[in-house]
Amino acid sequence: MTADDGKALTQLRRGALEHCVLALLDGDERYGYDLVGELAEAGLVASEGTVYPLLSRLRKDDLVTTTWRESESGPPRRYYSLTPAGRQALAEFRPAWREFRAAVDRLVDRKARS
Amino acid sequence: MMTSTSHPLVADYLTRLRAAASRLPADEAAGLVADIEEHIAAATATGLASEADIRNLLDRLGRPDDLVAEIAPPPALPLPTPASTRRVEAPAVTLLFVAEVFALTYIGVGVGALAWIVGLILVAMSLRWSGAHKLRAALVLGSGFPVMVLGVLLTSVAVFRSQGGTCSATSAGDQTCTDGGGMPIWPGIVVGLLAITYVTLQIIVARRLLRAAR
Repeated sequence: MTADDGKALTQLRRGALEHCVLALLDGDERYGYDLVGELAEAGLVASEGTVYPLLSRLRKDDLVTTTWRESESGPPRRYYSLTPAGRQALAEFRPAWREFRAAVDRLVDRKARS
Repeated sequence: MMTSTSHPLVADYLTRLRAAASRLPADEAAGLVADIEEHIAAATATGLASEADIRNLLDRLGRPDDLVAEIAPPPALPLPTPASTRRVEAPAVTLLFVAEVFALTYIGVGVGALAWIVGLILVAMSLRWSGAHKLRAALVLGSGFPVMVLGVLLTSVAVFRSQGGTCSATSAGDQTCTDGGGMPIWPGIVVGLLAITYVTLQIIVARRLLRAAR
């Protein structure tokens, strides 16, 4: 993979990450470390720490909300969950993403098929 | 578990993170540091982590600068283009005047010539002056060095000749050769007035050119 490909992927990840976080929180509240772990495992983040600035931006935009909960192993943890606005943003993103993905697929695969 | 965040590697990471975050608004900086502390605490909550575990954990978190850049991109560096194109004119004018002054000294002519050449190159490099400006700078200011060198040479020749003339005229032996003894005073006055006019013109042109480069 060339450096340019890497950069392109970084940009794509960055663009999609916000809605991936919303999707992970759909119907399920999670604490930060857990969220970060899932995103990293999915290969969506290069540096895990950058998820926290994103989370605080989502909170500021009122797409997610947080509550502190006691933990059996350690200090209290902050759990993230979707707000109604976050749920709506996710609902709007889903069809838009499918359309986007199909459009990119058509263009990117065109040459490969012919 | 307190052991994780008090580990020297973690403490060092958090110190660097706080330093990087110091350019953020205080509440955002505190929020970021708290989130990262919590992440480290959660990652090491299940037991004492080995040094390798901690290094991996911190590597995966990413560089403190990158985390802060995610909140606010680093301040843009001062634009290099105006800075580098702008300040050629004042040095060019200064160098041409310096060359002119050095032309008046015998020992500094070499330095003057160097300043003159560099000054003319800077004039040619200027992006803020039009062709007409550059022509004026080259003709009025750039002529200073050769004019002064020529002036000094001619004066020397004139003084030498007049002295020589004086010496040859006193064949009687009563009179010895004296400095400038036979030299009439008026050419000196004319040359002096011309020089003052010339330099005044140069100063006026230089000021206008510098204003045009602003």
